[in-house]
Amino acid sequence: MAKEHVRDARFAVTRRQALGTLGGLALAGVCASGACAPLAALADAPAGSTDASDTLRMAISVDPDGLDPQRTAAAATFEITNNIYDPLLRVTTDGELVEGLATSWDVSDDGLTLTFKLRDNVKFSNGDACDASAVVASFQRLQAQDSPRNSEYAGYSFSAPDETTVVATCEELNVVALTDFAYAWSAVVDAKVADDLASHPVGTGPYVLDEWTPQQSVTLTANDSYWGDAPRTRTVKLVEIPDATTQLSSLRTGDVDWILADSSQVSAFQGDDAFQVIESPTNAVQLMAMRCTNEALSDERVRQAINMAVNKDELIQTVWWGYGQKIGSHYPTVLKDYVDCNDTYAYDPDGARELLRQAGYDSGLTLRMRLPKDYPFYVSAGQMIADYLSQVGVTCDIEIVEWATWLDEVYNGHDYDLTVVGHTGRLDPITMLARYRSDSSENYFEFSSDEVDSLIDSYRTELDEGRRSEISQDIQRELAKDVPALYIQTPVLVYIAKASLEGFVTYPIDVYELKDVTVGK
Amino acid sequence: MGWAVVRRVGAALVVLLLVSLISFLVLHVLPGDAAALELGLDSSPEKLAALRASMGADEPLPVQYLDWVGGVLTGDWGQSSMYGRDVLSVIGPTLPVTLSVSALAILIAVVVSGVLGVAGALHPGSAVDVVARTVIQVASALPGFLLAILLMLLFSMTLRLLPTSGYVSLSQGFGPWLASITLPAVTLAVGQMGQLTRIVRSSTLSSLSRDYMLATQVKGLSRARSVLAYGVRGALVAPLTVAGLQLAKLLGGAVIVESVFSLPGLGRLMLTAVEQRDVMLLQGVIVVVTLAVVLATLLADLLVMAVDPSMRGSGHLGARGAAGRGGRDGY
Repeated sequence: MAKEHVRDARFAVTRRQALGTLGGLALAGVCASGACAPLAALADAPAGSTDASDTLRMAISVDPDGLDPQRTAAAATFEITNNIYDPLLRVTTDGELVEGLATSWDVSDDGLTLTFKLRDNVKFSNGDACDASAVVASFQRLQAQDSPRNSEYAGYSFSAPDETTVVATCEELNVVALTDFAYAWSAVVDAKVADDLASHPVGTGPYVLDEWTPQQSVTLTANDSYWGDAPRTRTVKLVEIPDATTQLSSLRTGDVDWILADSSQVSAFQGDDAFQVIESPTNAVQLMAMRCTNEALSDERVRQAINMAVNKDELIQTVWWGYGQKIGSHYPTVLKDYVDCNDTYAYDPDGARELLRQAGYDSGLTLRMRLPKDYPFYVSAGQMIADYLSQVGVTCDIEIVEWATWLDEVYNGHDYDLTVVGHTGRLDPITMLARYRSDSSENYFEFSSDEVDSLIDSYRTELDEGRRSEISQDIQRELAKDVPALYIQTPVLVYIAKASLEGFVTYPIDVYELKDVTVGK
Repeated sequence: MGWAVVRRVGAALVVLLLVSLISFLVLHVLPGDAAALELGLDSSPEKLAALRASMGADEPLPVQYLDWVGGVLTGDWGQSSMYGRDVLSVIGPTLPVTLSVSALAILIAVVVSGVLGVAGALHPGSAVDVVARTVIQVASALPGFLLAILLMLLFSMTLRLLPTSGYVSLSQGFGPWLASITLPAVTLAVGQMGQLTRIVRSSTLSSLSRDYMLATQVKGLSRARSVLAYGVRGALVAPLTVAGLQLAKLLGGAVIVESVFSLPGLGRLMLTAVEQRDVMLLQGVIVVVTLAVVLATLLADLLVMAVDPSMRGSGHLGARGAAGRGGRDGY
């Protein structure tokens, strides 16, 4: 379970920010479901502790997979490396691109050439200069054969016309190319010491690795040659505690300052002044996929009926203890172009029965539902959905399979009728939505719609950002109408922290910014 | 006795080779490979192929295995993909953890079971015998993780006597070290006590009814002297063998207890290596665990030979034979 959380990319808010900027949007659903009791408690949290601790301790459940951001695909690793290395661009909590190592950037009119202006006099933590040629060398290493991202960056060629300018040229138009330079795997590494990065990371970020004791802890300490303001807390210790119950007891005994909790554990901390509950709507999407080439499911009315048969509010309340925001299309509620499609097929079991009758299934229908065992929430959700469906005459044969088998047979092999799973979000809508193109190798829905195909194609070549927003909204509406899936929710992650913890926010990609966090002694 | 040792070591090498080969094959037969697991819902055929190549998983299997065996023999156990260091340097620090917890656990189990088992055998059916056996049976039947959490709740959270988790090495002080391994060792010890107490009790009972005990009485020895010097000594073989096997089991990694108490031991490392599909690391851990199990059983056999001269001539009679004998006597 912990793994699932870790892999979910997340959007972020501290409680205070949630109340301010995002309150209505992000937390309305949660409050409606009765889970907002601690909100009031948090408003009283002490502001600006004067006696801040010089060490932050956060619980993690697994070791990072090396500390080389260019040679891993694990979210748990990016969360840490993001504090040691800098990408050219960084993201805000709502997914906007801001300065990283680059202070300005420019996209040519044809969209094919990206020019980045770098910060002056930046040095790696070992003293090597981080100039334009070092940045180019870093990107060339990201394109190398043994990089898990080589296919994604293969279309770029990089050059350094002067010491602080890096030019990336694309082979073909990619309108969302800039986001390629904001992900944690695109961070700039010192290519001169490339072979040792996994255990001896060298970057330009606010922290350097102090000590990594496998299975015990990863300790980061402030990078004295960091180009920006020094981190608010000098030392961060990521304490490895694999067991969820032990994480809770360690928080209670004060051995760690904050943990990522399971939503079922939250109630034990509500109303306790010593702790705060930090809710972070993620930019993930959880859904029940339907294989649209199944004879019954190929009829749009059957898919619509399935959507109308399920009471999503009740489902989210029961399975996720209310920590989730209902959705009606494949788009997280927290990104800026989100369209609320929840009313397209609202809960209406009688309407569902009527649609099934029209489609010729009034005598019943049996579908095969395969659920991934490693994700207990998805299994519970699947079983509950099956129960709703049985009330409108659809029987589900449930089979629970190992994650590796699920990936092999369900996701890659399309051997299923119904399945419940979650998709991690990306910064740009098209990477999320492109899997619905009829010829996509990631289209495990076997969904096909001419409108959606042409919308995706026009997005990919549209240079005007405003127009792209409209297209992504049109795609959301199309998907909400055609329902290749029962879209369930955007999950909300829950962190439990000491009341004095401040400055912890999460982002729509898998990163933590530890330099802004403080905790009282 | 010398021959017995040589024979055991030879057998151990064969076991090592077989275990490593089987684990290597199993790892490759498992559905879903490391690359697919890593990419998850982000995967596409191109990304999969690239990642597989970067993991060196595209070489033929026999080549991969032989490369590895050759490396192990020359001291190069390969590179852990996850930690980016050589495998031995990752496994090394876990050994003192697992060794100290296992040793303390067996020590506690042997002392408690020894006292209760002998006491029970001397006064079978007495209140001490019945109560001790009942309590120990119930405690042993508790799942390890539950017992661990209960102990943590009492000693760490309520009484605040012992830490909830983590390991402190001996070099940082004896007290903190002992405090960090006490709860895990007690949890493990309780799990072993049920069996051990039964064996001690039954073999002491059977030893006490032997003819030589009558001879000690004829000789005029005091009750205490005759029980300790002859009764208990005659009953040592089976409990020693069982304790040796239990130690071997604990050295093989107490995954659950190590996870609950966040101990950086061998068992958890093995689990992590499986989850992260860190093949080189897993292979290394398996070799070390096999080696530990072989050594622990060898140690038990040597102890048995030391206390029971009749075992020395028959080196072929290994731990299992002795345990069998003890068991038969007991029930």
